[in-house]
Amino acid sequence: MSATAKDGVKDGPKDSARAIVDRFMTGIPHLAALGVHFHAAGPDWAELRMPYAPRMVAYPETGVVASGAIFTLMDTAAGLAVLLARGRAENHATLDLRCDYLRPAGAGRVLIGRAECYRMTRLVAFVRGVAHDGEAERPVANIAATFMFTDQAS
Amino acid sequence: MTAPLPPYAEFLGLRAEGGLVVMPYAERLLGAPGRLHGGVVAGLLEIAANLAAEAACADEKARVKPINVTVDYYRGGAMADTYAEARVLRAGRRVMNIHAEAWQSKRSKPIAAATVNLLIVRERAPAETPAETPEAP
Repeated sequence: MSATAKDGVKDGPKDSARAIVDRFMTGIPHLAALGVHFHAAGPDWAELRMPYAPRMVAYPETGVVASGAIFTLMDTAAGLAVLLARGRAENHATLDLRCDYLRPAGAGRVLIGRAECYRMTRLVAFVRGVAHDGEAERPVANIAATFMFTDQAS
Repeated sequence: MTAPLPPYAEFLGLRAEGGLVVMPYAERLLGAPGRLHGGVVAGLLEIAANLAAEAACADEKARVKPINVTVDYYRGGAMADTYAEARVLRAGRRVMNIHAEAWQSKRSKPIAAATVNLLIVRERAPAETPAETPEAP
């Protein structure tokens, strides 16, 4: 749940980035309940990990992960990428998020969600990302999202 | 809608009631302080869409697979019960186009809406019909 998770910080966020990660990821009830953890981060991107658990299953017969759980992983990764790109843990809201489910997420695998904030205007941030279950070149999902900064007059 | 809900829906605490899907408020659904996590609202909308698709398959046993979903967020979800309703806009043999909305205190003030495209995998293949929908990937 924190930036000191044992996977470590691959790209060494600076102290301010670490503070952003801690504030965004720590003590969030739904992330703790579902099991979404910090994995790695950079100046405008974030990676989160979601280990497989029975609570996130869509069909018990196959064990495939529910699309809603993948959506939650990616919404969270995208939101964190925006905060890192902004360099401030200020308020924002998801305006929209599209998720393409490219193939089923395998039962028992750890899902990694990576999102990158590739463009920011005064009020809106644009984010893209992928989720994969071990092979980054074979993603299980692709997302495009926009966020609005809600702490500024519009 | 008598079949048991998926484990993920149970985890969210969802109940199917009279054509609606209800998500009673619970602390574990919170994201930012005092607000439902956006992913929870998306999960509710997707489950509502899946149930509507299964209902539209009538007696035929079918499994739905998500192709994609787009969620538009209109306002933050408060610490309150949330409701969702999904409408099948087009029910093809292989693909269904669905619109779902979620609201809290007032049906007329939705907190989010989703466009959901589902692949329909029917367990007993009927006589082949001509292609009527674009093939899903």
